Amino acid sequence: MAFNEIIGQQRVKSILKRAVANNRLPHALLLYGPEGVGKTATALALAKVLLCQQDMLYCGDCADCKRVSKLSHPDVTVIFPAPKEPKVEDIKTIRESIVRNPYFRTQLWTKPEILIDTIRSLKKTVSMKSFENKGRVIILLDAHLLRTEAGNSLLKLLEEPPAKVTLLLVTPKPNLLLSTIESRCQRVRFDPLPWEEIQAALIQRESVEAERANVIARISFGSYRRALELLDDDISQKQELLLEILRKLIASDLDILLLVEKLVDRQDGKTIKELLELMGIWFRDAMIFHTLGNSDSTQQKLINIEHIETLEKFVGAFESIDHERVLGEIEKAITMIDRNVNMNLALLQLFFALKRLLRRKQNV
Amino acid sequence: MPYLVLARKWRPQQFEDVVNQKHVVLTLQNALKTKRLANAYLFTGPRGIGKTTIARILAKAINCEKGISENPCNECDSCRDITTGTSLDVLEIDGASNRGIDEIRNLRDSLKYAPNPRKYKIYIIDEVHMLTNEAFNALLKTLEEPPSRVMFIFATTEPHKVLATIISRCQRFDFKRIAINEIIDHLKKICQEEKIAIDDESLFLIARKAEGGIRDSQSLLDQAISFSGSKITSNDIIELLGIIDWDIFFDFSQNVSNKDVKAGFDLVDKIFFNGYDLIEFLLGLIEHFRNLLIAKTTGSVDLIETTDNYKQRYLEMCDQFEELDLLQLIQIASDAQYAIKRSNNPRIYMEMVVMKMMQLSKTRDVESILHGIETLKEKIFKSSSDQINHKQPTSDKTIAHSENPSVLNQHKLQQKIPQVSTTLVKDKPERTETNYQEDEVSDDTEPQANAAANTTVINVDIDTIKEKWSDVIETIKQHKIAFGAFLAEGEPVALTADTLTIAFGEENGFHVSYLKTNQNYVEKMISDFFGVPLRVKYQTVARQNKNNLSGNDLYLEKLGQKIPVIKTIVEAFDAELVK
Repeated sequence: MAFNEIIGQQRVKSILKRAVANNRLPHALLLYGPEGVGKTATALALAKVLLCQQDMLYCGDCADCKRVSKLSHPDVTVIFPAPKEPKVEDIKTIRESIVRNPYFRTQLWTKPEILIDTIRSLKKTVSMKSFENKGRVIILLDAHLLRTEAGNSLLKLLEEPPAKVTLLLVTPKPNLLLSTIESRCQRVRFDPLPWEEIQAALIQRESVEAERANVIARISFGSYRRALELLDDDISQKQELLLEILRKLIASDLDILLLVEKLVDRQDGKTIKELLELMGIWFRDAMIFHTLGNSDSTQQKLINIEHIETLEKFVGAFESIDHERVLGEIEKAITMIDRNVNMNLALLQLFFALKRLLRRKQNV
Repeated sequence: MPYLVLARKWRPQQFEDVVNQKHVVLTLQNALKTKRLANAYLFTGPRGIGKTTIARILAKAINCEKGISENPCNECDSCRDITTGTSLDVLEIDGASNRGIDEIRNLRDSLKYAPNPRKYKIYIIDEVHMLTNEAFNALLKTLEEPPSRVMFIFATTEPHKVLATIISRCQRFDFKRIAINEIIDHLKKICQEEKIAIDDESLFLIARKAEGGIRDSQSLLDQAISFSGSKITSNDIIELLGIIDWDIFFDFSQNVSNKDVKAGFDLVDKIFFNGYDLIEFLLGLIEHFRNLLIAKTTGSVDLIETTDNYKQRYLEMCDQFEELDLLQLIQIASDAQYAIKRSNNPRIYMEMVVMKMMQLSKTRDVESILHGIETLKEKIFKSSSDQINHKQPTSDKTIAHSENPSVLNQHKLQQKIPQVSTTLVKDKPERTETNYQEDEVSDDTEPQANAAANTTVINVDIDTIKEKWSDVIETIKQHKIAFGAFLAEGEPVALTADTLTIAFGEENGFHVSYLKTNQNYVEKMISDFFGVPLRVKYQTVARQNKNNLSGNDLYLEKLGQKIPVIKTIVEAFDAELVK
């Protein structure tokens, strides 16, 4: 992935291009911003710029650039969090997923970390001369998962690395980094992608039809990775399911019990979590619709744009909803499911709470 | 020459170049001058303020070929070797990577080899807090009594992780964060040397973002230079560093003030798609509201850290908000901070928070509500007294004897309104103390006494006595300390005719009997104080009564003294303290 293949991020690109052009690229960069907006892709593109045989910003075609793309360049070290003794094939799977598409990295482990041994061996590598004599690029993905010891042992290297060594730290959560690491890097912030750009990228790269790309792009909240994840499953079906749930919420208690039973039987945890996330988005839309009324500018903000009529009816049915508590309940349920609480209980708890919140307002 | 970041290029090589660590530099230079060098130093303080730098300069000053001096020459081989990190006598060790006991054992073994003649062997252990416990303990003996001409310098950002036994063997220096002004001055110097044109606002933004770290400020400046070349403007900085333009906060508070929900949502969009960190936005927002609050309450902007242009705007804007509104906004924002950190979809949450802020109804503070009630009361009272005046000619004379409840109420109200702040606090508990065990005064004397009170002219009432009671005791103490001390145990509870009743706890029987034997003296003292002849009676109050008081009432009493408003509320609404 060369510079011109990165989706959007004009500001970031211009910062980095100018730094390269002025020969002022620092030895340590912290690339941060939300997930799936192109940080890893940018890190790889930078590696190419630094190691390219032709010294070109947009090359991507020479042997070195190709090797960077395949993560097989001897002077590029990519480090990502892993458990203590990872299987070789797991590592291979992840590397392949990065090679295939830097916007999407397969997640295999629940709690991977970057360990001190990795950093120690990195230091050994760095102390040696580079193969191609163009320097070395170290890319640390998810740098916030550096364990404390590992992070500390990186400090000296990060401050004063050997000549021609560039460290690129990539993280969606910079505030979890040690402040001593942050202070040694120049920070480059990445923005969420506007949905138009995601839509365009989906159409162009994944050959998705425009209508569907529009829906997915809006739900992805600026993350191309999330958009890619959403590609795999059928969004409209889930939205139908969500509407069914919402309708049942104001029905009898028995209906809710049956609904939960059905959901837990037929859907896996991941789907249910996504459903709840969609539900959060739905209530968010309802909130905006309710406060701003139906207008063009409202529609611009809405995410469930293709269900706008249902939304209107929904908002009309309830005088006003305590959105803070509704969202709070949904978030609580998602957190509970993340923590492996019994799915049945979590959903029942949520649905009854929602029923109470919705019903009460209806009576008013 | 390859590009070197500013932070490395500008790493001070002389003590005098170090920014604002005077207390450390001076001490070390004096130690060098008098050659009173400790064998272990511990440098602590936040990131990027000069710990490692000073450690290196100190090493150079000690090992300089021109002899130990206050300032290293930076020219001799030794100094240059230390600067490049190739000196054989000065070993800079990364404590975080070499943290185990084995590494420390190796280090101890290496101590056997003496340094070059006339030089010190100096171990600089950076990030020393990451050493393991065993490693620390293995160091203890060496650290206390190292071979001659061996010195340790530890540097760490987290001194609390260093064993107390290590700290006690070191001379410790705490480095200070660097003030915004000093960072600005330092950056100005760099910009001059590097021939960079930069305006003051940009410098201010960078310095503030650096949060007291010189290295942070240098990295930020570096970035700004690579972004905009040799001319830097504040807009570049805002765009580059993701600093949220302060104008956004003003816009936002304007929206809150106008209750413009739509504009609020637009703003969230803007913040989100400009990639601003929502937490950072909230933090900025809290500071913004805090600034407004300061401008509002103090009427001045001296305490606000910002440029003059914004100070003026704070003064102009603060009138649009009530103090309590601002407090509430700050509360919402700081609550949201935690929630958003944990949220699965921060943007939705942010939108909700914005809506909440926009819909915040204008609060009125309790004082003004109470004031409203008071005026209302007076109005009602006026109209009712008008009615009474109307009635008076037709009704019989008994009305004057206050049998009419409305007049009674009116009488009470009249008493209450002016006295609210002073007497309410005191007279409440007295009412609850019901079970007096009357010692000498019999019950049936009271009505008579009451009647008498109306006739005899006494310009002292029980309230004034209570108020002055501590003064009374002070005065008596000056004459005879024992009386004063004994009387202090009791408290005046009632004044009937010319008789003052003082209540004592049951356990104070001794006090009472002592005072009784000196009845005349006590009476004289008290009478002299108030300038009216008074007789004194004592009564014993059952202990349990005092305890009864310790429930809600006592709490209310205490609270009332701290926050008089509460008391007033309780009175006005006939309310009960629930929590």
